[in-house]
Amino acid sequence: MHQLPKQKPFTTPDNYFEELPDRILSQVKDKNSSPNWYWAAAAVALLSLGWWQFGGTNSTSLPLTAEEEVLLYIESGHWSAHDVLSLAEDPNQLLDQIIEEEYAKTAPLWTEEETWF
Amino acid sequence: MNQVNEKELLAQIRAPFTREIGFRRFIEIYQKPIYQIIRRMVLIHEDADDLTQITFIKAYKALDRFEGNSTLFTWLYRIATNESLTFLEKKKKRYFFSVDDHQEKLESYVDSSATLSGDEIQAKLQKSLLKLPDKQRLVFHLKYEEDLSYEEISKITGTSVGALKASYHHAVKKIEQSLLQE
Repeated sequence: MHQLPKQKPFTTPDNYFEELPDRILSQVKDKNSSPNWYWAAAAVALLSLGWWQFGGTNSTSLPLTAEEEVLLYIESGHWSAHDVLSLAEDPNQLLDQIIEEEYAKTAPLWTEEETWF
Repeated sequence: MNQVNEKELLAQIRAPFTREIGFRRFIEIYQKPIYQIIRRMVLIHEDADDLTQITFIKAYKALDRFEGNSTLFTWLYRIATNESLTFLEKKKKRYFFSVDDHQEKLESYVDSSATLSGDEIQAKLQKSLLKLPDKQRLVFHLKYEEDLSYEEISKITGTSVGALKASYHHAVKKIEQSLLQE
């Protein structure tokens, strides 16, 4: 054990720690009102696109909401998850949101039962 | 760091007129150790920079609810380590639109850093560490590199001392074996 070398502290760009407090403080001031608007904008864009693309094809059946219609195309396999994500303005951000929401619900970070080894 | 009067610092942050100056002090006191533990986990400066900022922003939002059941230092470490682990987990879970494997990215980062600094021993250690599960790697860093006690690590991770001791023991064995094989 004593033969293991200690890691050296990581180096940072010049003046990094002198500037960091200001960068954080400016964000704290900006973020006092930070709604989840990216997520909302992506969802609206997605639903609008689905409505526009398939809106006229079901004129004889009961009208579906845009959301139902999008779900129908996903569930029937007409659209893959990849297609849906491709429609989003920023797929990576959408994925981050989904992962964060789903993962937060199901997996606490630290549990006694999990495998540590 | 232990000489910080946390009560006085908290009071300064919670008073409306001194909130900003108090929070600035708070960042200045803790930014270096917080950055280092995050950087040890995520390796790349840009990622560590983002996560350090997120850690302090989350702390700012939650400071009014901080009840003092642990020290500010432990509490902040807990936010930072949770953010780092969530970040790494997210990188692993993301498979859409990803052109490269994050693990490979980190390994090539270690190689390029070693080329720049000429420090091969550090690079070997770093690569051995990357083979560990993230949480075990975190326990190793907190114990071996940061020199925290098991009791402190237990408060940060919310895990029992016994589990931490076992995890650390396994980590050391794996690292030693990995270094010997090279």
